[in-house]
Amino acid sequence: MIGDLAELFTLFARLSLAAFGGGAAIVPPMEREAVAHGWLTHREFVDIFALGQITPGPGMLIATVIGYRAAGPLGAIVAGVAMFLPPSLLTWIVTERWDRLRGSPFVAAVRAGMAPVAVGLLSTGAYAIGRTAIDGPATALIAVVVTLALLRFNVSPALLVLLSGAVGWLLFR
Amino acid sequence: MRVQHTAPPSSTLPARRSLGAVLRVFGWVGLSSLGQGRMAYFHTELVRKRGWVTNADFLEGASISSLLPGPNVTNLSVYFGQRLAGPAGALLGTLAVILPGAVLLLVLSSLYFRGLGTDASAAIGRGVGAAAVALIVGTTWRSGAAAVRTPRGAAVAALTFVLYAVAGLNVFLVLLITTPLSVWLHRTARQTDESG
Repeated sequence: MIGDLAELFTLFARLSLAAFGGGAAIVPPMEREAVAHGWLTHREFVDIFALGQITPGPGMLIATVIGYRAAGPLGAIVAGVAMFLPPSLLTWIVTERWDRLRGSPFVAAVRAGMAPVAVGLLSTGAYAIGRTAIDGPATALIAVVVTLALLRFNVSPALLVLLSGAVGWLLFR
Repeated sequence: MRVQHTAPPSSTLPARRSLGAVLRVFGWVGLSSLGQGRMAYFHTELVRKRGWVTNADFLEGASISSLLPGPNVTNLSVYFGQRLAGPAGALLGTLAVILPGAVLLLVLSSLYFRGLGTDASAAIGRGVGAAAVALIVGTTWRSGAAAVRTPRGAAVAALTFVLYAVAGLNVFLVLLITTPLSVWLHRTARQTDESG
């Protein structure tokens, strides 16, 4: 039991700190590890990941389900803490230090320089999801309509996602 | 604020808010943020609805959150939690984003493991997936347009996209190439350069 928990902690802490550019980067290794340990089958992983997309909160909450399957409620907590605590702590330290360095010319260059890199990273995220999510005219139309609704009419994103889910249910079931 | 005399308004910190107000907003994001593209929910609540944060400040938070390792949405919670309500805001705000979804996902997945159907969730998921693409595009456009309006900004964003999405390089390697290059290109940037 303690062995399982320690293994869950080291696995997810290691994955969380390797997630550059967001959680999507570590989905494939997470799937490999979960299946290799016999915690989930490939099919179960895919289904739970899909379930994570239609529930609120971070997509990486799938770690808690893997932890639960491996070691019960305590496993869910340990896996969740390991997934979210190390990067959160790192972000907190950087945020806190960042404020003290404001005003230095180097930090001004870093601030200005990282913004377009982030735009490139976020665009890649949209592209990566789009390559699988936009699989025909219907899903392409949903994406275009939602983008316009968000940019032009200030519609709430939650409402847009719920409506898109409902349209998906009507069209694809 | 202590940096005001050395830096123009775009680089001042967002004003502090009460912990209760921050927890209400972050809790709502935790409850409502369906699908990928969860940054859009923070953008809607913090920039568009409340004006607590400017687009330039939001992009700065989004940049730090996506350049550091870890899930973007919790990194963003830590960043804005700290900015708006200090360490307690960072800790409790992030928990408010994580916990509602954690409980719901654990409950739904236990139903799933008991064999209760997910045929509907696959169909719903296709609609939600398409919307996620739109949320990311919309939020990136709103907060990031100012950063790519300059030729050097546009070039760096395009290079990042090409190396990562098209050439398929490891993201860490991409950051190792593009971030120093971009900082060097922006070495003459003034604090106001990317405000918008």
